Amino acid sequence: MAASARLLRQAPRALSQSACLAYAPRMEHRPEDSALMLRYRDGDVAAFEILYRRHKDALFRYLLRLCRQRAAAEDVFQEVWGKIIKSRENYRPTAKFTTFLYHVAHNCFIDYIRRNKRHGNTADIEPDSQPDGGDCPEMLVEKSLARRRLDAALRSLPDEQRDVFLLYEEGGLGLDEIATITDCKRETAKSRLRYAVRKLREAMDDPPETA
Amino acid sequence: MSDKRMNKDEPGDPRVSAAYREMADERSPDHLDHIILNAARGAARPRWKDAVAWLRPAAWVATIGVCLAIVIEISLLPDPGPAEFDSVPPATAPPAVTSPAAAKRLEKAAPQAAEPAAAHALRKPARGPSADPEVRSDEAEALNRVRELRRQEAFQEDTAPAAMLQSAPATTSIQETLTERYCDETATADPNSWLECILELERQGLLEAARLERERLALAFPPPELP
Repeated sequence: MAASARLLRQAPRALSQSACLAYAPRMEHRPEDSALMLRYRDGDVAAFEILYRRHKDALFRYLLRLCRQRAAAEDVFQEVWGKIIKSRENYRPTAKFTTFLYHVAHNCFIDYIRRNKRHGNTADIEPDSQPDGGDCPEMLVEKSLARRRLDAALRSLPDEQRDVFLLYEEGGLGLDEIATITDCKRETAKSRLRYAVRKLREAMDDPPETA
Repeated sequence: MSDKRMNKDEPGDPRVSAAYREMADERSPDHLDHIILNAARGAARPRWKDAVAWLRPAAWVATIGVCLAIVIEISLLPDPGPAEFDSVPPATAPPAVTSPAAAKRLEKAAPQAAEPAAAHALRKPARGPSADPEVRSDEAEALNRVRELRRQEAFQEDTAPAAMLQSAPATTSIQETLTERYCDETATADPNSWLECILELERQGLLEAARLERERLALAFPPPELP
């Protein structure tokens, strides 16, 4: 009973994760991330390629939204994967690979902020940089406006709330894992995520004139 | 539904998630993909293959070396030769006399043991000056036995009562069974040849053995009493 309730609770989240991976090619056999990392540790480069292609875009988006500058995000992205490659010898599958990956990414971002004190609000991400094809002009305009509103709301979030929201959405992580990565209590992570989601929902519901 | 979910354990909102999914469609740049995958390929060169490359010949060399060392060691071992002391019957081996009762038991067994001891003395080859390490080890072993005999004698002197001291012939027979014969039966048949054997022992430096043989000579051929 409790299990079915839990499944029902997790259903929307599972949907969002499946939507996250919708662009990924469907595979018959999907080896575990940890198994891939262990194979890479033993010298199997193909395993790393699978692992990299599985997580690279989500991680890049996480860093892009976190850094708010493409160049910085690319630097941190490269640094993160470099650390993953270096740490393959000592890798132990004690936790989910995504937890490990985003923990490294979070730490690299913190280091980046410390290195670049002037990390500020100068965002250079253009929400409409990749326009959809096939939609009518009205739909495109509406989508563009929605994107702008959500992007602006996301940028206006405090760093901690944005971090938690991105870990939740891009990393597909649970509250416990987010709390571990951000080095806070589970309730703190939950509170940050709740505030972030509320602000984003309010921004989405606002009329276009006020966004 | 979203409000309901906000009260649940995970405060995510599917509508916000869907909107974010729709908005966030950026992908990692291709040039970064190339850089990272090349770095991964460069770093993933399996080190164990390098290790195996020299491990197998090293194992062969080590095995051959160990085999050679064993063969050389075996070839350098001294030839055991005729098992002199191993062929001694157990009755003639020097027993550890630890109590007067044990000494009495040995005393009873002495007549039977005297004959094998004499036979052993016959088997023992005549000793001559030699620099052979085997001979040296034999001499050292003989000296050790002499020392053991002296210790046993001292023990008997300390523990044996006066009555035991009076039975000199029996004690002598015990001593005969306990001690090594350094002069063979041919030499001991005649006092002169026995004396020559004793002198030879002294020349070889086996002073203890010579002294024992001298005592035996005195027992076997007592000097004539002066009037």
